[in-house]
Amino acid sequence: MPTQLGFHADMEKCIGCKACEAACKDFYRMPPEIRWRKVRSFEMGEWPKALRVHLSLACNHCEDPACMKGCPVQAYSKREDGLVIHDPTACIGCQYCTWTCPYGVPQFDPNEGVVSKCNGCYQLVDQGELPRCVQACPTTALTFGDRAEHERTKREAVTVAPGFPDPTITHPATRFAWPKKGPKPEVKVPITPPAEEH
Amino acid sequence: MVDFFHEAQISLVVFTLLSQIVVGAIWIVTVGEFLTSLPAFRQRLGRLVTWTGVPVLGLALAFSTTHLGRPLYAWRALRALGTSWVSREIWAFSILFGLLCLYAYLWYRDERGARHRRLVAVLTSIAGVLGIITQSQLYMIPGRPQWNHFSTILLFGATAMMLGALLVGVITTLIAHREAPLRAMYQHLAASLLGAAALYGIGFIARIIYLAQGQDAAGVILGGAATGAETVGTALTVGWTIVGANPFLSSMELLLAVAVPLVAGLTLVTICWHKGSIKLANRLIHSTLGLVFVGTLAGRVIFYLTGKPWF
Amino acid sequence: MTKHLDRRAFLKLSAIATAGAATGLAGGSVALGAPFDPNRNHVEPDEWVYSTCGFCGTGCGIEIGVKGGEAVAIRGTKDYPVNTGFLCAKGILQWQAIMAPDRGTTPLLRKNGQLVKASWDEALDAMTGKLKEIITKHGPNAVATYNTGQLLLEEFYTLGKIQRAGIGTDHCDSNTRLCMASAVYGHNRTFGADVPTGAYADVEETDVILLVGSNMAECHPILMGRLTRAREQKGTKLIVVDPRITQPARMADIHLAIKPGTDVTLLNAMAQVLIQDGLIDQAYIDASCSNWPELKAKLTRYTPEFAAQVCGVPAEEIVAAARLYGKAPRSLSMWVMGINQSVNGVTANHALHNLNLIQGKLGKPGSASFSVTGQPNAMGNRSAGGSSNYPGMRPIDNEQGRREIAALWGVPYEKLPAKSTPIEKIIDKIIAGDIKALWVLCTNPLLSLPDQNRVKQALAKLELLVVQDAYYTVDTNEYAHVYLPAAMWAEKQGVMINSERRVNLVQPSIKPPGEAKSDFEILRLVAQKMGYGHLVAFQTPAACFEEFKQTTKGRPNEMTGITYERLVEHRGLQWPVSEAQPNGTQRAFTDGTFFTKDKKAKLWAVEQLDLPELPDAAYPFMLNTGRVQEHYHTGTKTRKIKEMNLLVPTVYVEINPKDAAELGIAYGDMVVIESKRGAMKAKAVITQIGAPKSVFVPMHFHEGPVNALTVWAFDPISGEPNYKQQAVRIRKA
Repeated sequence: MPTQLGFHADMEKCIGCKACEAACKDFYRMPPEIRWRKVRSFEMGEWPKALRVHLSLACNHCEDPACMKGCPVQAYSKREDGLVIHDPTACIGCQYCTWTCPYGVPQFDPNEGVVSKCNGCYQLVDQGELPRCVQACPTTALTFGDRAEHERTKREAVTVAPGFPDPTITHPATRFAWPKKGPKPEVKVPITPPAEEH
Repeated sequence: MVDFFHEAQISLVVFTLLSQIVVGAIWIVTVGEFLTSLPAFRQRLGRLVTWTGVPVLGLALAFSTTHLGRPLYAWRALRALGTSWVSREIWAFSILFGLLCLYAYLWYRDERGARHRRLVAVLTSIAGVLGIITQSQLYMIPGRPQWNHFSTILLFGATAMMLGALLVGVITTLIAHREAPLRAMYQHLAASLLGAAALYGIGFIARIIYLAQGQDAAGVILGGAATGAETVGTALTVGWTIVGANPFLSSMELLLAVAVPLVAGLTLVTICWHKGSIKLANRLIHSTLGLVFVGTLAGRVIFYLTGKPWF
Repeated sequence: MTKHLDRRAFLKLSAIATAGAATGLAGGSVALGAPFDPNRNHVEPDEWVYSTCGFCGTGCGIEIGVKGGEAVAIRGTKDYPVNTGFLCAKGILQWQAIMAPDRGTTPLLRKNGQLVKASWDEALDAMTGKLKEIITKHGPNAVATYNTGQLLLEEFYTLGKIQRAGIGTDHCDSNTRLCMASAVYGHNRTFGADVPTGAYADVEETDVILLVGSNMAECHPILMGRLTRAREQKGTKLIVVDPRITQPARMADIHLAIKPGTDVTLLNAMAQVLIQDGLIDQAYIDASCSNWPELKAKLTRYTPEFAAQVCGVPAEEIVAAARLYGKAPRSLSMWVMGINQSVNGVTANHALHNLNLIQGKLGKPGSASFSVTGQPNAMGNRSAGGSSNYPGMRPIDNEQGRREIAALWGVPYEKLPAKSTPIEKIIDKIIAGDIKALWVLCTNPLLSLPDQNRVKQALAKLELLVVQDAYYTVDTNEYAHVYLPAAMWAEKQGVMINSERRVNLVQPSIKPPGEAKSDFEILRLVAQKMGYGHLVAFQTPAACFEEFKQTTKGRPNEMTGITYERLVEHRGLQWPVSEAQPNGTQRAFTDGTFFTKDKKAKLWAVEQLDLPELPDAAYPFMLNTGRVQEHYHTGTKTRKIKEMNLLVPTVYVEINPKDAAELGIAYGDMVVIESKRGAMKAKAVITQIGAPKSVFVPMHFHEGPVNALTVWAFDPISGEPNYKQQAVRIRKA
């Protein structure tokens, strides 16, 4: 299997503190509305056994990236290590990738007239370091590495998460560990909408 | 208001509708190339339709670039024919535009060039078909389950046929050629209209049923039942909620883009059958085009609105 | 003038519009053919300044990134023991709060009902002139001060000196009353001094953590990170007592979702299980604790079944929690506002200390009875005598302490007040007309005190309200007669002390905006104008700190071994820092002796007090209040941080779906919440994490002030408000 770098999000350990998001924003200084990393909140089950879980997601650096396939100007490229990079200088702002990506990853900035997205901090990765969001995670809920490695070493490394669109569409590299308590990945659960709008 | 225009993708509403009218009109004219036996009438009609078609399609293409963040670089979108439906769509409509210009030019030549012209007409029509296919494929993507349904292509094709036929109809009424077998032509028009409206109706109902499924799947407020493929339900629920939140748009679509053309088609058939007043038929055609255009416009707006980001 | 401005504004606007259009078309830094630079918007600071975070009581080490005289970034100090480089989202983005456009740049004076710009001289003359007039006419007790847990220690010390040795008023308090007062009284009455026992390192050392009334994930995310990592690495067990399914509750091995206000009963029952199971250390109790027979007798009726009935949780779970806690070799209790902000604040603190003392583990690594603070320098205030005590943690009513201070300060003993009045009494006395002037420093009582309508009534009645704050938009300024623009922590020097007694340095990284001055400077100016110049002879915070240090000699919070340089060198030092303990003291009471007269910790036999208000037919919902991770206190800082405000833009109310269905309320609907005292509007968030018939509203929002609803009731001992339980009704707006 070729190398495919990606994130691993442990929903047991994630407390929704959004330090990952802030670290990303603080370094790349994209406009406030453009969130390369987004922590989503979901609820499962009913009081008193309800679970609110957080899902910290950025680009899933898919094995079959729909953004890249759909892009009419070839602004996307996939590196040998699997990271999917978007080059804004090539982008014409057609926003088609914001439709083809099921995960809402590429986001359009009307001021710059182009789309932008998480690039996996590939410059850091090239230096053998971790992406900034991962470095900032105080609970170690968010980690980064080869998805095969995640599948070998993590407590759990599945491709499905609550509300997370069908992974068979683009084969995201992100892997998840579900909360220890409560529903398991194979269990159907009713899920209320993201509470992020509060 | 600004938000609404953005969410409704008004640039794309205008582009898809106008380009589809032109494609439909070309289909009708192409058929006319082989059916109409009156060269003078045919020529006037062909000239007028293509004269209208060129600027309308040009306008549509120009308008589509207003959707872009950087319209000046629009030409770059031709680069990814191999992978991207956007590139394919732009190729298809660019070729269509080129062929349409050629076709319009050929109408100025005398009838001796008719064979070439017919060939170009067929090619232009085929480019139109490809245009509608690429345009629909662009939206039929798993990333937006609300659009990822056969009703998308059905609605796009039916819109082209319905509006194209009505546009040609209106132009025909303007020519008022004495020798023209208007009643026969109007009967063809009515048949196209009825067929297209029926297809549109099927598309409309299929889409409503499709989106409504989401509600059963979802269970709780917004949000869907859960994981993997089931999340399609979440997306459909988002779409369904938007349909519910905009009852005016959906009823306009049903009324003006389905009911009106069906009734108008039947009325037209009746008028022609009973050798009724041509004036009445003309008026009917004019007002039907207006109403159907408004109906498809409402439909297109709700189409884009339902394709809201859902995750 | 106006025309000119308009024209300039117009030109500027059109320039922006043109530039915007041009970038839209061509793309500016992302123009076609431009080199692809993923870091195109990144701002790299020229230098990083060592400091301490200005938010919660965790007290993370930070470095402030400065570029061109502006704060442009904040990062965690990598080798700082508290946070090892980690910061929460607010912490990372707080440079935006420093650079906010509504920072006060000049003093303001109220003239004809409007706050207008004034010079420092004018403003200070107006303030001190009126103060002198009031003191002459009505005596010093007609003046009150109300400060914060967010100034620097040197400023608390200076303020304490001015208000006690200068003005000589009994009416001094700070917002630590709303936060830590119950913990302070708990420490004082049990241990003989306000000494938090534990250290954050206990989180990693311990085997089981009992988290009571603390949503650590939202309020102390960095500590929650340490806890989560410890759980993963060591399998540390977690017991959470909270009426909501907070993130800690979700993770917990045992979650006891007790009825609000029944903590004391639960904790007593847990102690009783320990006694029954023999999980206590009789030798330790005999040697180090007093009042054991009384406690033991009192606890006999606290059977698990009795507690189960009171608390609404199964008896087996209470027993399981107690056994898990008692059998662990090391066990740690941590609590915050769920315990302190209650009529049962002090009693619950005692109950928690009891639970830890009787096991004889207290003071051992991994075993502490640990009240975590909410503000970055509440402990600085408590150490330096900024509100309800004298420096060196000398109780206000202790004659010997006052004599020591009088000698140190060179003032007559008789001058020093022997009383300190909690803020609620100050408010009542303002309404009664006894207090005429209030000086508010670095806090926002209009939004943060309970029963907002009462507070409004009081503020409107004042002859003089001085608001000294970093932002002129601070809500309380609505009622101010004088506004003094203060520097923020990142613009001044001094020390802060966190929950684990760690003293750390704050350094000026940039200049304050406009004419704003540090609170230290403002205090000295006021003192000089009031004629107390001799009290503030120290010119710099460092000199002030040297003077303060002398007051701690031989005291529980000794800091004589601290210099600013040593703080940076050691990455903070935990007091006491004395000759005997030059590198600080990680844990207190390790030898089983305490600061009480008999050197023993007192086991207070406490029982649960009734809540001031319970839901009834007219007001059927129990309202809980609290914080969200994205915002801090009254939002004066965090609501200037665009990213945070985008995540939680406005006030909301959490409602259980069952109640929402009954009331016909959907997600996102506006609802009206009413109590006997007032009403507010909020957006509905339908959630399963709260029990039916209970609602939760965060406290940060002036457009939906939850304190319009809260009850005017206080802990009878600590005077801390009861924020967490009141009865309300709800309807769709």
